[in-house]
Amino acid sequence: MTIAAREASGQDSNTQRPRPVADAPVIELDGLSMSFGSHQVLQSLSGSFNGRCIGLLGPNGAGKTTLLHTLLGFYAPTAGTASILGRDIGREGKAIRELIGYMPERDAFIAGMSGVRFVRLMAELSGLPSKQALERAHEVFFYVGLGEARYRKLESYSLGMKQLAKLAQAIVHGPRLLFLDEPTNGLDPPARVRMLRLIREIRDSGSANLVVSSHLLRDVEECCDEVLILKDGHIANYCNLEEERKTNRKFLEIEVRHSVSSDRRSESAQDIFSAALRTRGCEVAIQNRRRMKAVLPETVEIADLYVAAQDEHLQIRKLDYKRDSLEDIFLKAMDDEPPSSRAANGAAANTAEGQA
Amino acid sequence: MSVYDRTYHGYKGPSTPTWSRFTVLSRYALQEVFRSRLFVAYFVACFLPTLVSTVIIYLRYNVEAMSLLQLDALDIVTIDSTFFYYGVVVPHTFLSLVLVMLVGPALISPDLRNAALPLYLSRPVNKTDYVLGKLTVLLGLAAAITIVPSLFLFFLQSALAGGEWIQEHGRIGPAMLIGFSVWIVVLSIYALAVSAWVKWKPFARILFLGSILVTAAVGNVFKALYGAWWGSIIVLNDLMIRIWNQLLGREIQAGVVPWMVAWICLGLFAAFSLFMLYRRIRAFEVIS
Repeated sequence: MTIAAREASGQDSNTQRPRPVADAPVIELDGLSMSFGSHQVLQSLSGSFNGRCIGLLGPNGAGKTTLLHTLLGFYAPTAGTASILGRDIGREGKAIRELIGYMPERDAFIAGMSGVRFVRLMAELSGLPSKQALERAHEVFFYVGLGEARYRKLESYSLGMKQLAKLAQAIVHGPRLLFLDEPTNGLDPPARVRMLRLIREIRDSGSANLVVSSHLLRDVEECCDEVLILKDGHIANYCNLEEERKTNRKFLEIEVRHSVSSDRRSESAQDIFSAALRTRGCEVAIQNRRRMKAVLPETVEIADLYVAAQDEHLQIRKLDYKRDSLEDIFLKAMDDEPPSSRAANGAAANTAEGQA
Repeated sequence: MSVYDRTYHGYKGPSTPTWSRFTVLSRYALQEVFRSRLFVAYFVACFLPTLVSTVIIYLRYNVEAMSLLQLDALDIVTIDSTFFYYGVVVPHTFLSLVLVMLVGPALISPDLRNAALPLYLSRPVNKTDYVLGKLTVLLGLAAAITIVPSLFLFFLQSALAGGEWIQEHGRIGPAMLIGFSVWIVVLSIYALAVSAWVKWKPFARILFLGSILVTAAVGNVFKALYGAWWGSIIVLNDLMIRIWNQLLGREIQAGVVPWMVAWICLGLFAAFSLFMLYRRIRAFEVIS
């Protein structure tokens, strides 16, 4: 009988493993700060996060990895506190780490061990009895697609295989929360697709919540339902991607240039065209040096834009319907002033909305 | 989760007690150590002095065997504290030093070199569990070739010699236990500290042995130059000899390091090694 079968049959129900506190948020931050000497990396982070798969985004040095490490207990917070699945990271570190699986960003393995022995060791350290650990190690290796390579030494694994082995050790003990730090780092496209598929499967299994830290927006967009954006140690934004997609209005992305006959070349083509659109009742925002965004009122048709362009001696070089992508959300968060309590309150409000 | 299912499932089975997690580290490390045939051969060889001592003690109290070998009781050494010092303490001290040198540097340095500490410390294992897990390996192996054989010889001698000998030499047993415990604890902590600071195993071994020899040389130079005992405070061997002599009730020469100073120096050495060890056991280096 496999472990899964035993679990299903209700045997081994006399478990000693710590359990998450009922109805507690996955992660709750309460003024969490962390600094290395005089350099403050995390600055009073607050909020309650409940997503099934939370994407942790931010530019390099924003504090993503430090936040994960602080939650794992690698660093003691300099101020504030946090709880994971209802347990305080300061007081119940060991109990929390029994509920967590962690896939580090950098290469991390134990030299001289075969893959399956390594994962078995990790399972035993997480509290699985030896026999169950062995069984789970084999099963999890097949699950991540390394079944045939499980007796090979870890040193002989390719980069992609090492990433999968790291994922295997993170999930072998069946954690309730999984921290994945840059899981697709250094993977070729097929390996990346496989990794993201595994992440989505784990998410959809309902057995574990995930926090995926990445600087690759596409990866986060593909597997996360909520996104926490960090900037300079602050929470710049926290949103539910699906909600965000629904609420975002469709807009036009427009690129204009002066036509040959234009006599107003001293002025920017975008400025001229945006002024023309505004007189027609459109909402306009200039995106960058070449592109602008416009939301048209019901009374304005696309054809009117061409007329306006002709009147101003401009050429419309690009006209595209779009919705805000994660990239737009991310860039907007990066452009905003460093938020403090506003972001935290917004995060909490977002969560409340999500729960409602 | 079954192999044929290949879908993700959580784990709801039984769990081992949290306090016992460090034993997992010890068990795996021991298995790794005994995978080396060279080490197994050395470990077995470590019991040869005990075998010789056992034969001597056996012959001492077996008239038939002695007559068969045409030996007289006077030909065989007296079993007393001197016998235990030269026949047990000296060889086993050396053997345990070599054993710790072979095993110790291989315990932590590979984990540091391969950045494995985040994997350990992200589990319900803290720094103390990790150090305890690794330390237990060294202590277990060193105790097996020091404390266990010495106590075996003591009890064998006690059983064969009887009450009068025990009355006269009873302190040898506790002395073996205390002396070897101090030696292997100090040595093991120091070996782990070296292993934690030097990522390359061969260099860690050289540093471990070299530092002991160099401090001994420097200490002896000081002793020779100034004729004072304080040169001994950096000589591990001198400190241990002083403690052994005290424990076994052997004659103390004039001008040697006071026993209290020897204990304090060993304690400080172990505490400093432990401090240095703990400084290195962290998930990630913080680069300022």
